[in-house]
Amino acid sequence: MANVPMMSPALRTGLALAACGAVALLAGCGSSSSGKGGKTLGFAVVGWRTSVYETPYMDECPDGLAQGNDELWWKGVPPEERAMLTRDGTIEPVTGTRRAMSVLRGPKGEDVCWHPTSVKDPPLRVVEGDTSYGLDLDGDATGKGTPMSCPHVNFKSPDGRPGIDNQVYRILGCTYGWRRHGYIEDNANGERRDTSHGIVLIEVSGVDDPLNDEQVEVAFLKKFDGDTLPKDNRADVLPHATYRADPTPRYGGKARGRIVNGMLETDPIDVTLPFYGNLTHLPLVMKGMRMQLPVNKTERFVEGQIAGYQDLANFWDYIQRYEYLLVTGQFSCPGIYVAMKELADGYPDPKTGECTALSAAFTIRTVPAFIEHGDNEPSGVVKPVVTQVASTKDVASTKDGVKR
Amino acid sequence: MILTRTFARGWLGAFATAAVLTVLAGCAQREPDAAGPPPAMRRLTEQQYRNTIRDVFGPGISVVGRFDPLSREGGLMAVGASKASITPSGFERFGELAESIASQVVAPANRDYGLPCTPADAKAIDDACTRQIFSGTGRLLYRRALTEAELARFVALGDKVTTTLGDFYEGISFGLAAMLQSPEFLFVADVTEADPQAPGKMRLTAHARAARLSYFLWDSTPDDALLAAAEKGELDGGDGLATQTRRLLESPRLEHGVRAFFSDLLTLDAFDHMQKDAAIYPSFGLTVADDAREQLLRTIVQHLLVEGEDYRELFTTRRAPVSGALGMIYQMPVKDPNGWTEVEFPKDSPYRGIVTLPGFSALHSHAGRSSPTLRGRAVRELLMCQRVPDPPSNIDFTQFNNASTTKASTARERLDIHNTEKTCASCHKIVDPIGLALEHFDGAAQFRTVENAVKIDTRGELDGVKYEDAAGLGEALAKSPAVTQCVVNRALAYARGTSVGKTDNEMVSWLHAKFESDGYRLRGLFETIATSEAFYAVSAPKADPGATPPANTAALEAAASPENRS
Amino acid sequence: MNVCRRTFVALLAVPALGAPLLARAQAAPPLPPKPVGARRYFHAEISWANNTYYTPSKAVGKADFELDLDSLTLHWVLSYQDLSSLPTAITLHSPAQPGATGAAIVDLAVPGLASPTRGSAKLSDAQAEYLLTGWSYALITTRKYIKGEARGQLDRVRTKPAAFL
Repeated sequence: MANVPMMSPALRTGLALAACGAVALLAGCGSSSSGKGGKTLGFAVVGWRTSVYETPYMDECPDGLAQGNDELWWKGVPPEERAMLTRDGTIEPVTGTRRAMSVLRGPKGEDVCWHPTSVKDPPLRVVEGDTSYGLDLDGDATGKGTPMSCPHVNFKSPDGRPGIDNQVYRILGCTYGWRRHGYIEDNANGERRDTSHGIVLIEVSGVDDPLNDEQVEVAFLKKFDGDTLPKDNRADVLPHATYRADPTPRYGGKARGRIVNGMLETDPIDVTLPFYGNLTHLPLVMKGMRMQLPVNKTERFVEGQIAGYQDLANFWDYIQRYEYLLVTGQFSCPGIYVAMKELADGYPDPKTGECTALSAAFTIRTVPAFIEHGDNEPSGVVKPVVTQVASTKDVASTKDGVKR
Repeated sequence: MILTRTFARGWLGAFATAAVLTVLAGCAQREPDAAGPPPAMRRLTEQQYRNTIRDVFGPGISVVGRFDPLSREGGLMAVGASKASITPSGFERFGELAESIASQVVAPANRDYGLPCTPADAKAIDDACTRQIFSGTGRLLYRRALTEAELARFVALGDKVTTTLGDFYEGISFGLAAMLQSPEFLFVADVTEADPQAPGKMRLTAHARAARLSYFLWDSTPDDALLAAAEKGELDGGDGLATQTRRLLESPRLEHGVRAFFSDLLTLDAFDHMQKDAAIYPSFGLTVADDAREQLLRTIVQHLLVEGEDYRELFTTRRAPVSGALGMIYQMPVKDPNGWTEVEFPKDSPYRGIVTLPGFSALHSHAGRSSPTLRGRAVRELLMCQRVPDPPSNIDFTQFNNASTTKASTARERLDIHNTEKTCASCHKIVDPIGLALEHFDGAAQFRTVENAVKIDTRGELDGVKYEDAAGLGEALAKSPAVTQCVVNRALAYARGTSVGKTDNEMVSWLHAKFESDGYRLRGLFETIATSEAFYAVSAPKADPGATPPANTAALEAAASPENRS
Repeated sequence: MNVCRRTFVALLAVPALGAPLLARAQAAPPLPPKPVGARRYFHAEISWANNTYYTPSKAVGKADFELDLDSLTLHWVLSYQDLSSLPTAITLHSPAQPGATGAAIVDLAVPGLASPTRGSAKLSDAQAEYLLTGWSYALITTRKYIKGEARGQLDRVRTKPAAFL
């Protein structure tokens, strides 16, 4: 092709191919491609956000937002004692001393994030609205449950589709930290952008037509942490950079997908993705995860959706690691613990029948990117189902949490 | 009739001789005679200053400061350096640099590395060590051995400071700082002496020759071996000079000289004040700019020095190293996002030749758009040595800048409107067709096929050679005699620090013929120049009755020494 | 973000590293359109026991609030008893969770300090937001307790209180 334009996606992929050919002389080019032919599209996920549907007057939380740990502690201490402990309120909720006091409110001084059943808090205020982002993961809109899901109330999507499963939203949707004015997701995104850690790469190969293609392969990869996300002078990530895929076998997976009218949809897979945010590195363990991402756009930033079941123990791990955000996020561990076990709706334990995963949905923001695999095979083996939690009775009974 | 025949025969003879000479020029061994330019003093460029400090004191010394800019003359800062003076604020900056460098050299972490001896008592005078330090360092900084009087003055200075402050190293530091502010260091002077082989004529001293050779080929101060050769009289001509010249040419340090030459030729110092509009070109940040400059130099060094290829192929080569940051501009993957990946662009790629590299196309553009005029002018002036006059000061740009009212979508259309003015057209027609060939590259060197939704037309011609696109322009440049003539012209001017004028025409022709017969290889050109008589030739300056006599160096140094500054 | 929100953020303080890095990168999803004619209700249980400092009095009270979201007008009915001394002010404060304090933003005793007091006031967008978030409280200040004798957080209630029927 004589002239190679930049923006049009079909031609962008053509350039990627041409450039691929160019680089091939002196470098192995995308050695992990499906090998079926067709073009390869690459994306870097530069924004990751738990999808929380909110209404202008917070009507999905008719009793108000979830009570934070400080409030629950404060209400449980007699007035004279707490005035002394907080020096008449001059020791404010966010200070270290008070955070420590308020979280060590178990009867024997236990940290209630590590021993959530040591106290009996009022029930968590969960979402009571009828609308949520996400997908119908279990193929059922009645909420009665299926062989792969436990009974639970379904949502409808903002555009009216029934059967939406999103129990993570139900649990966290009325918690200040995860809502639009809370900092938890904004902070996590900012830290990922600044440190370049915890970034997912998406590689779509075998693309014959970015508008409609019955079969493509999609690899979810972990970006090599050492490759910095280049940013413009407003600290937004720039497109068309090259990143190396981290071959660490723990992360990543491959899924089949299809493109319909420019929208890529992937089949469900079990996959562990890298996650970093709020000073916390941890794997994100997803089951039956699928993605919807428009792949024919010319804009720099393109938003898509990832939905699936988050392993319950992994979700609890995430909440526990956010313990230091109890005040600024205004949440409390025991309430979440009880609620999550009650509301878990995916992958019933064959012995106990209790569900071991929570339906979830995330909004992702991507930029076009090139992905280098070096000499290593990409971590793209379709993994077996993650080992089920041994017992859901008391997940946090040991400091380690869960036996895997 | 007879007159005409004689006349014709005379001219015929002249033409025949000229033709024979031209044909033989390539094989001719004899360099034409040429009177050299008058001797001059040239201020060190920033890069030369840095290289010198690195070579004398080691890479651990950090040189942080601002340098007074040098002007360009005849297209080169190497020539403009001979017109440079130092402003009071510039002198202050050199002073700050000198003090900073001197204090780093004597700092406890560095002193064992940088200084050749240790005093008996770090709190007291140690003349033997002081002398050793100042004579050794002075020789390298002044590019000649210090005279006894100079050395005595520095030792006295060092002793005085040591006594006052009770610290041997403070004394050394003051002395070194004084040396670093001296004109003997900051200026490379063409010191001359009577030529014993040509009575009545002048020649450069051996030390001056060493400095000229070293700054040409290595862009740095003469090393110990070269200075020793000068001191032993081996640089007065013949085998000694050839040996040293060959040594410098064969050293990997030749890369510094080549980089410095092309940085000067291609005005890469303009990168220091280049800014792109971050809203229009968000991808073109500081890293991309630095990498663009580096990519251009790496391409040149790889092609001309490492592979020793034809200079003309620089304009048609499809190979270039690409960094991770540049990969975003090219919108292509790179094997090593944190380093450099050697790339060969495919045959139909628009990227061909160095004028399509960002180091050229983005440098010669505006902050928020491309500029066919700036690019065309850069090709004419930098690559073809053809002077393009400045525009007059009273131009009306409204038609050009306002695409919507004039319904001009592309740069070509805007320039067509602008060039309806005859006075504008006369200059624009020699630059615009060149720059318009590069219009597929926007102001940040990113490829595009349309501007404002209108397809870009890159057809044009260069001095009669027509082309369809940038690749064609590259071919035209490769075939242009002006391009190869220009690099020869510039190389000679750069090497000797003086513009090439009419009196040098024969020399330039001779050099060019050799360049051509050698397959246009740069190493050969540098070798020819460095081993030529013209490289070192100087002639007596014309007397200027009104000129003030040169200042007394000792007095200047005394004024510069820290104890005399308020 | 306005100054009030920033002040509250400073009060709530921020994750250990300092100011959070507001990611321009990915904003929260847009809100659906505001329903017209919306009214939301709040109830406050006012008590001596709710202050951040110890006030050994017996003062108690109740308050019901209606927020008209079209006009951002707040209507209230507030009553109290067993104050230790004459009341000097009855004010609405925000933003603050229970166990923390905030600045006075509305004078709830505009018609008078006697119990019951009822009135209306216009809120700003931010103040309405804090109220919906649960970060507002009513405070009765008296001669003896100049920092406030009895306090009650405004908790959202699902049904319209009797006072507004």
